[in-house]
Amino acid sequence: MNLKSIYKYGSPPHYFKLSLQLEYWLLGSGVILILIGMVGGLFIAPPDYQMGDAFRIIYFHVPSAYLSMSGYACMAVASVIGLVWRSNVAFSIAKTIAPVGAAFTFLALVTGMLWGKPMWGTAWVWDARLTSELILLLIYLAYILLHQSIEDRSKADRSSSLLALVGVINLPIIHYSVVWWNTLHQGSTISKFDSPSIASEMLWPLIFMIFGYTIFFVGVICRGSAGEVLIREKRSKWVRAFIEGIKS
Amino acid sequence: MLQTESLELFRNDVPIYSNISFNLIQGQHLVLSGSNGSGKTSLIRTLCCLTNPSSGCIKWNKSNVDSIDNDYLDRIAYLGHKNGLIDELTLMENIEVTLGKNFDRSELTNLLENFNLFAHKDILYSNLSNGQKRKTALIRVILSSKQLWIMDEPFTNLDVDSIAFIDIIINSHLNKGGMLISASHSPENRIDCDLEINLDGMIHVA
Amino acid sequence: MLLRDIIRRDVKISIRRSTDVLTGLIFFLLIALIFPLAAGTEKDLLLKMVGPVMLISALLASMMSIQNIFKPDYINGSLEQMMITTNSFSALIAVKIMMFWIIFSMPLILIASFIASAYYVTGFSIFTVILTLVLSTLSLVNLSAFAASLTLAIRNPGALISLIVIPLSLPIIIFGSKAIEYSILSMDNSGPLYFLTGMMFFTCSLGPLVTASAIKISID
Repeated sequence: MNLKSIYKYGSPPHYFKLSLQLEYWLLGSGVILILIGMVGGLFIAPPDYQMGDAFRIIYFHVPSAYLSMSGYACMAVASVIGLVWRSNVAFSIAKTIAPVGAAFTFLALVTGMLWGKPMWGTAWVWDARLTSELILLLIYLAYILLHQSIEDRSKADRSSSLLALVGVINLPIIHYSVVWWNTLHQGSTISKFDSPSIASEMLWPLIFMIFGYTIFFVGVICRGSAGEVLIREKRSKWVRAFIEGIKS
Repeated sequence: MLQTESLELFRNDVPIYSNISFNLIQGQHLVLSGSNGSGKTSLIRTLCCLTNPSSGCIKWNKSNVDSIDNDYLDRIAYLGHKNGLIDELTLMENIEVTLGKNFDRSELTNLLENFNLFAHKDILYSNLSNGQKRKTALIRVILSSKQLWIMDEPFTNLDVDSIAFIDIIINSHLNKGGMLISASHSPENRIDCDLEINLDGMIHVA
Repeated sequence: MLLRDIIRRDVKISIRRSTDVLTGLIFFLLIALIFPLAAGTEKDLLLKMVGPVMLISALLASMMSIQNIFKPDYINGSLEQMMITTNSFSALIAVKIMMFWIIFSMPLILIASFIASAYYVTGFSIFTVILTLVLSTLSLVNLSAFAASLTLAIRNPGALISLIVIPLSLPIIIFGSKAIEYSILSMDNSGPLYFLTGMMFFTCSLGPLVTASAIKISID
């Protein structure tokens, strides 16, 4: 495999072109997969024996929660690459993932609460997963606020990358602490996606939703990070050529 | 010997200084001149390895200062825009705490007397005047026995006698093989120099 | 600059800046005072609350006083001098964090035993309270120092420091409170204590490294 064809996308002009080319394809196919998953999950899948139609919220909750956590992992990897190799592309990706990941975390929390109301009777319950999601939201917010508070852009990139790195190392510790803490209080929150036996009619829309969400997420990151790369590489010739190309 | 090659710094895409190249050998004095805001302080901080330049490199004794076994930082004494001394300690305590145990006591007494600070040596640093604070910081640099002194506007707040005395000290430092880089915005406070870099746009050798 | 000089310097400075030193201590006392007044003074209630109250007050006290670790030196320029003159900046930061812990947190821990007895804690549990506070304040000081170093160049970083420290300190708070609670209930609390010890070694070894990197970035 010719690795050079991959490495060249670490350089800003190639990355910029690639992400703009991919953007609409990713967004489009993501939306299509989500629509298929939604139709399958909301209409075709049979209602659950225990919860009735209320379980259908997992088609939105699970992808959001999964993306919030893997988004943070990607942000941390991008931060490490940015810090070690001083790469503006990596810093742009990390900065773009932050608000999008925070939005997905918020969605996961809201859908979790919407799911909790019919399931447990109250909107918020101190479940291990929901509490971990809330803490993850706070960690995202800390990254975003730190980046915004520092005026010098290069300093802001590096400081928030350091914070993302420390956050990702602590994240498993926090998650397992919350799980341990939660098992002391009550153990009766058996979630639908915990049990190994999920009916296949309910599973395939979930798979579609997860893939759709992920592809859509990458599509959103494409444009955001392309813009951030443009800002950081303002002084380069390729940026000037690009702007001239747009003006004419 | 200190060498820089094409040093350049951008902050948020604003150019601070560019194309700074010079060679400084033992016994030489480099002056950075320019108006306020011309980038002198940023260049001085880059030379102390506090700020990373956007491009270019600094070499000490032919090897890059970033390399692991380079002893550049052991050879410099830095006097910045802020004095680097602590308000809650007395003048004497400040000097002892920053220099440790190994400095020449008689030399210190000599300096204190010539700067008219001997009577103030047990006064809290925060109670000194700005000129006296600056002189204390200068004493710290002079007694540090480092080869390269890097000073950012060393003569701010100093009276004429002190400036004349420092002139003598600097000349003896250069004669003993030391090096000096200083930044100043006013020509009348400048001592004779071997190299001058004017950050207002031109580079020339004196 | 030798590390020995740093220690001597920090001790002298904190003796002269004694009002700063007392900030954390007074805050800790006040919070410990407020809880029984607000929640009632039944013995069972206070025994349940003592773990969380100790930990949370220690957390808040360290966040209130953490700005004193780097900000004064940053403002008067001595932090830059230390960066240039020491061979290992991380070692210097480790020493500064330890000195900060000794000066700011140890008085807090010393009076914690008296506060604990005001909360009706007796016997061996008081020793557990002290041990838990030692382990958790060491970790909390390292985390807060990291947050303070990230925000060194920002003018009013109080809220940002809290936002950074509190999510990262949740495991310490959870296990610390449980350790004290189990000890009061005469249950085996070795699990939480092992976790706290592990967390302490983890933060005390890696904390100075990331804090030193963050300071270099902020001073840049």
